[in-house]
Amino acid sequence: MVAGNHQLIAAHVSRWFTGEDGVKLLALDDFNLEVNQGEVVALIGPSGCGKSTFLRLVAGLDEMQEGTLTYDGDPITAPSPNRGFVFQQANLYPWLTVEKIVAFGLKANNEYQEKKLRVQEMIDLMGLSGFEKSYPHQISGGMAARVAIAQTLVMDPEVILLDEPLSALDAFTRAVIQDEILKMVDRFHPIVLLVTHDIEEAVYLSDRVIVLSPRPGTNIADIPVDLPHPRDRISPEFIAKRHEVLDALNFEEA
Amino acid sequence: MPLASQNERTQDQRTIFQYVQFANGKEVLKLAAPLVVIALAFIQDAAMPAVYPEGYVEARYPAFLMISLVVYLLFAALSVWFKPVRAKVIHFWGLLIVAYGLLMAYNYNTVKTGNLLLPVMPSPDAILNGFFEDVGGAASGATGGLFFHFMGSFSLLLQGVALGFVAGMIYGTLMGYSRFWNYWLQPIIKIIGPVPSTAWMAIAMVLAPSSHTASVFLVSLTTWFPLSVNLSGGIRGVPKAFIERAETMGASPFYIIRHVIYPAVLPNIFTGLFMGLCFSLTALVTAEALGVEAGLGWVINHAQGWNEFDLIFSSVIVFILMAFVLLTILFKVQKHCMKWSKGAIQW
Repeated sequence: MVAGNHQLIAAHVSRWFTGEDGVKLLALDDFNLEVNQGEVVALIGPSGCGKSTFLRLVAGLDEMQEGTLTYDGDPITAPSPNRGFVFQQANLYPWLTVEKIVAFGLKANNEYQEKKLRVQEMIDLMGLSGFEKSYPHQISGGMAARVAIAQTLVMDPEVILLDEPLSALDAFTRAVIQDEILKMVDRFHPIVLLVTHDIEEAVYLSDRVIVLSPRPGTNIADIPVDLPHPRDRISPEFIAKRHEVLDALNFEEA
Repeated sequence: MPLASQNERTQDQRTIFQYVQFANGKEVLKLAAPLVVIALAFIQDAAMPAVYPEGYVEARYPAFLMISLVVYLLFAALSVWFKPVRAKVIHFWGLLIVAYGLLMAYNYNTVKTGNLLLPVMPSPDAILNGFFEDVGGAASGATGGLFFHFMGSFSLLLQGVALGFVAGMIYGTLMGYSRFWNYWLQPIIKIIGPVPSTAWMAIAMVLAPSSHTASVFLVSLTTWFPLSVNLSGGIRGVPKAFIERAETMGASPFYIIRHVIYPAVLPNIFTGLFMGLCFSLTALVTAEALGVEAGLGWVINHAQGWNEFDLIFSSVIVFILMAFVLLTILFKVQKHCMKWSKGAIQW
């Protein structure tokens, strides 16, 4: 991977929610992370460990209570098309066709006229050709996930935040889209933050796997994955990496 | 490109011929049955003398039946050859038989025998004549009679509904989108909304500069209320994910309202408009009966005073037609706007 200039730094980030009874629920506790351009970083940890919370903070959808979160030195305060977010559920706009969903972000930023071709390019890259005029209720779940990814990537974001976008898919479709994501990373060298429950997915896609502790989440391991692409899912090195991550996740023994 | 256009032409021809297919025996029978009933109605009317009131000369009912006969004959003839027309005409065969059968029975029991009490139950001929009568009021002396009153009602309704639509969209959007506005606007709609327009009538008449303004205001009130409530409820129910998705792509709040929230709440807008239009029709009659010296509501009220029941029937029929056409247009627009939706209210 090519290391570039862009840099995302989270330092001592803490985020808590206040329940209706006034009880503070700490989701993230003193979380630290530094990601450089071209890096794919997987965040893995048990349910409720705050990994999605962290992703929402990077997206600018939420505010944290403590710590600093900067992109290229500027604090993150609001959403930006520069930081694309692919949500867990595709939640495509049912009133738009696939083509218009993919073009949505460009139109919202008045860039559609200049970047029209990107829409078709993205549709082709995600294997959606022929479905441009289809409405979301007419396409499969796997396709919906691809449309959601295409909708985010068309903006050429420098940071791509993936919140388990493939969790609802069958194993085969998931593998296909994982390869699409790798192709895209190879071409555009973005910063990719991937939240997942799937250790195999984390090892297959990322350069580093960050393991989070149960709530409140904090980083307990940073495992580099230095295997060359394309990665063989059943090679001994790959399986050894999966073991390494699994060991780090095995909190009770630790 | 001569080749392409030639291809297109042969394709067009092929599609036209595709539709030509002769009706089978069962279909011919179904097409002929309403024709027989309409013809029977015509014969019955021509053969029986009018006895109640004695010596009554029918003016328009025979012509109406004749026109019905000719029009239906035309459609039936087309249907024998063209499949798409046939499907539509045959769809109505049962309804047409019952409608003209009932009309025949009604004609028999009114002007032909007097079995039903006149003038409370006027004959079909009297009702038809009502459409053309000069009924006085603000349109007094104008030719066309009911048509002028219909135009009055129609324009009042359109003005009121248009005003109510604009007000409802703004009010509903503010209430649904902003907590601040919701705090101040919610109580107003809770107090004013449920009060029937009849109750406001007297106050509105006094406060408004003219009775016409008062009527427009009342009609708009009845559109505004259900539209605002439906719209604001819909906006609050828009999935948060829809909005966050647009935010992460850098869409401005106005862009989100226009391109995410409004499309998402289109079903609510149409439901609100549908309810508003129905309520507004009621408000219209009330407003006209009490205030304006024109319109179908005024005619009905006026005719009641003079025991002109035929005129009441005529006005009600015009009213039904107006409501039917307006609601049909509304649902056609809804269907067009919501092609993406699988299920919507059917009309």
